[in-house]
Amino acid sequence: MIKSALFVLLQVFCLTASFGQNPPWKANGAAISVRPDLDVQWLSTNAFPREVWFYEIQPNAFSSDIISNVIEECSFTEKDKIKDDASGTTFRNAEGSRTLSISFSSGEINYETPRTHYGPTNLAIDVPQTNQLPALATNLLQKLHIRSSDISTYAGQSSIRYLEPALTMFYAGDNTITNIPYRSIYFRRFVDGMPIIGRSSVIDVGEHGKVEKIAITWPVLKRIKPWATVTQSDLVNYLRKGDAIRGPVPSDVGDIDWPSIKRLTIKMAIPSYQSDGKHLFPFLRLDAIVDTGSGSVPVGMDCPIIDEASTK
Amino acid sequence: MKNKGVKPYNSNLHLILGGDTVTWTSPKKWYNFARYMNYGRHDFYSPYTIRNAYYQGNTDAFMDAPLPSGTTITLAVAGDSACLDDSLQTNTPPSGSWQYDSLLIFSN
Repeated sequence: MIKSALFVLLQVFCLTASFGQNPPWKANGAAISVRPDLDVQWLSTNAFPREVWFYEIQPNAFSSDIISNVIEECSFTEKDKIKDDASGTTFRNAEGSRTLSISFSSGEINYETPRTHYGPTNLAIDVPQTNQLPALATNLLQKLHIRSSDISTYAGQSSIRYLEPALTMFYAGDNTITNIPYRSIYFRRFVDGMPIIGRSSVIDVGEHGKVEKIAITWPVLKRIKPWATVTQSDLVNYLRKGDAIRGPVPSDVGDIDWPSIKRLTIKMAIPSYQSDGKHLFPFLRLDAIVDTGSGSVPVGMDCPIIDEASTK
Repeated sequence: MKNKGVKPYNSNLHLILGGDTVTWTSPKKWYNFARYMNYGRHDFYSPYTIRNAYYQGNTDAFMDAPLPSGTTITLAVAGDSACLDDSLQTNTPPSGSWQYDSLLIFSN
């Protein structure tokens, strides 16, 4: 009993010891310089949770129900199985063109099919319209046992989106022929109402409503330790002390010379999580406007949502 | 080019890489683009086509990047239909037919 307790304490210590040194959000952009005099206007009005958690990322064996649903949706049978062990299972069709990989160790489901080469006389047929996708999404998410609360903000707003990501225009003489090869269902996983930043989960639906691609990362998450979130005043101090990063700027703007900016306006602050592959770390994503003195530039920023120094 | 219906075609042109929306700065996207064209995306040699290296390199570069909410980045590759799958290693002579291809690579 004492040994077990010590082991758990050691795990928590190791996690928290490593957290403050290198939180993954710091790799998302360029460090900003120290500006003790920085004029920061905080316009964001959304309330933060009082505490956020560190999570440990664990394997997901997926239920037999989920696995059989995915196999059926991707038109595989048991005879297509080419790998099945403790780390996961893989299916491939006889031609080798379609592959379904279910990784228990990383909690990922990936289904890939070759993209069809369309032309002006060979257009995609019967691709579901955008307004048909919600019904398909409801059905597919049920099969994956993904609940609406798993993909919604703490305000109940769904992250699911229906997009038309790919388009080709063929020019035949004076005519322009447009081809939409597939449409997509995008959704983001939320934990405690906070989005996990990174690649969205996606399901592409092509001709005749057939699923052409699945890319989902859904590991089991285990709560390790809660931390109190900081105040707005602390956040402004982080920005002035340079304890934040900023993201890219529109290519037609050029770069931002941070030491010379006139004002930073925070329009929205979104408590978020980011994975390093082993753990989920809480941080704050900001929608900001930088007044450079010669114009206003929209920019995204990341900063701590907890006192990371206290976790060292 | 798309909006004005302009086709900057000549018999030697293979591909033009550009954007369908405003694009965003990133040193990673050019690094990825070069790496994927020359070597591939994984730890084994499997070079991407120029078009796919452009799309995937940008997708990976912006995956975790903080961009303001509502940002959409759609890239475009216009060119001769015969050359859409050109790579640095092999390419096909232009055939005379022109097409415009676009892909959403980031949306939040």
